[in-house]
Amino acid sequence: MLAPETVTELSDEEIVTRTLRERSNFGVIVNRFEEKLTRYIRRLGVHVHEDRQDLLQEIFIKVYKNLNGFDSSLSFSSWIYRIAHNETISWYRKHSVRPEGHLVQSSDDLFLFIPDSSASVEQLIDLKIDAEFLNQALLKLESKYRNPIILRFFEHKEYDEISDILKIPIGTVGTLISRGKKKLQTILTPTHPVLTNLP
Amino acid sequence: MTPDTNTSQQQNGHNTTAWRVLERIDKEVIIPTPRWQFSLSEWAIWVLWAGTVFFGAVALAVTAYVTMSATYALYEATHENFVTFLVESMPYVWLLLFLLLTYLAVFEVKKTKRGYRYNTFFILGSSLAGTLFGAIFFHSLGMGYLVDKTLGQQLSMYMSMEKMEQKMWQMPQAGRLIGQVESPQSRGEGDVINFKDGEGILWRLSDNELNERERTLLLSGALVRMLGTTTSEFSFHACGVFPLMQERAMGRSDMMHEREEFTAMMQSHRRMTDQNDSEFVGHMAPEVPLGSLCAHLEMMKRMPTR
Repeated sequence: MLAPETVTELSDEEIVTRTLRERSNFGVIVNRFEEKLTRYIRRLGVHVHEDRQDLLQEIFIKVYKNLNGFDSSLSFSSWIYRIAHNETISWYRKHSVRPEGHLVQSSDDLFLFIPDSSASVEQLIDLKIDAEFLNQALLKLESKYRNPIILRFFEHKEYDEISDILKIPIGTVGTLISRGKKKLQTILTPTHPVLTNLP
Repeated sequence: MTPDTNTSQQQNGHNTTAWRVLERIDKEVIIPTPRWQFSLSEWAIWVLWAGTVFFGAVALAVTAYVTMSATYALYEATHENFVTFLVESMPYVWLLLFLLLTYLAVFEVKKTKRGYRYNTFFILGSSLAGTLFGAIFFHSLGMGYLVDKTLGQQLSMYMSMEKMEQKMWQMPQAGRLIGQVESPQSRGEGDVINFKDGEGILWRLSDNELNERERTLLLSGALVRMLGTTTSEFSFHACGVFPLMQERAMGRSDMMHEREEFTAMMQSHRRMTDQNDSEFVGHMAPEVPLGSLCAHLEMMKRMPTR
């Protein structure tokens, strides 16, 4: 077995190969993706900490069970995000609940989401408050638009990664993001001028 | 067994997500699903797709056979107009099956591991191309005929081309008969022609308005479709004889040829009635057809005038 510091330097794909030989290596994958996936499922609307912990554990168990099904033509990150996405949707169905708040965590998220030039200093001061408005607006969006927008603007995924995560053609990703932004603008228009000029 | 992890315990002790996940894997003896199961399910979808394209091709081959075998050339003989003929002749079930299988083929490819990456029109195009090539191949082998005939024999509710022809042409009151002459070789001069129709009924035929080609075809003993009119019980006056071409779909040139012969024959019958009518003006009531029974067939009204 390799020393822990050596294992952590390996690529995700190499760790998968090693995990299939020695399961304890799976801990590296868990550590590597725990924070990202926690943030992602929170953005998908799983608000309660305990629920997130349970769901996260289910996601990693599912990932472990399906390691042999990992398609090496994808990035491991896209594959694990896909499982996280599907498990979160299943979790909602199982618990008969709808996603709730906190998709946008802080004003940092908003800085990435709005064009730099369009916001004045005064307007930016209000971003903390606006995060709540944006959360409400995102929740009003249909999930088919909300999911690619979250992946693109808050998880900073490329179009091809979003395509692999959501299992939709790349062209459709672009269309959904573009339409989603327009719909978001419509929802936000009466709410705040800063957020109506989306990039 | 406690996970012999080289990560979680050493990093954060027992309360990390990694430790909890690994502990659960150990406790519940969770093992990764074998690779062959993933490969098998992927292969199963592709095999299903191939099967779908195969049956789609068969459906299209039968559609082609049925469509191309329809007696377009003689549509005035069986229907009020071309539209009613077309409506009754279209193989809706096969067309529907073909469309359904095409949709299924696209759906199946989308379900494969990388199916979502392909454009729907690309998948649709490739599935259709596969189906089309298969259909052309099957059509050239005569599979459309074979499937249609076999289903017609095995399923009473299935309307095969054979049954359709039977239904369309076994209508003596409408002037249509299907069948063959009895004892074709034994006919001498002045002998009566006995014609056995599709239901086994024997008819006495008069053939004096048939041309030589039609008479030869009729007396050859082949299965034929016949146009004419009943003159009394079980007596039939023949006005046109056409071969049954069920084993292969008629080509365009054959169809055109049959159509030309049919219209020419009908025009010739019509010319006879014009002559008769002018001859009989002032002597007899024109509604009594003497010279040509064929000229007064109901379907003559539907024939194009030249």
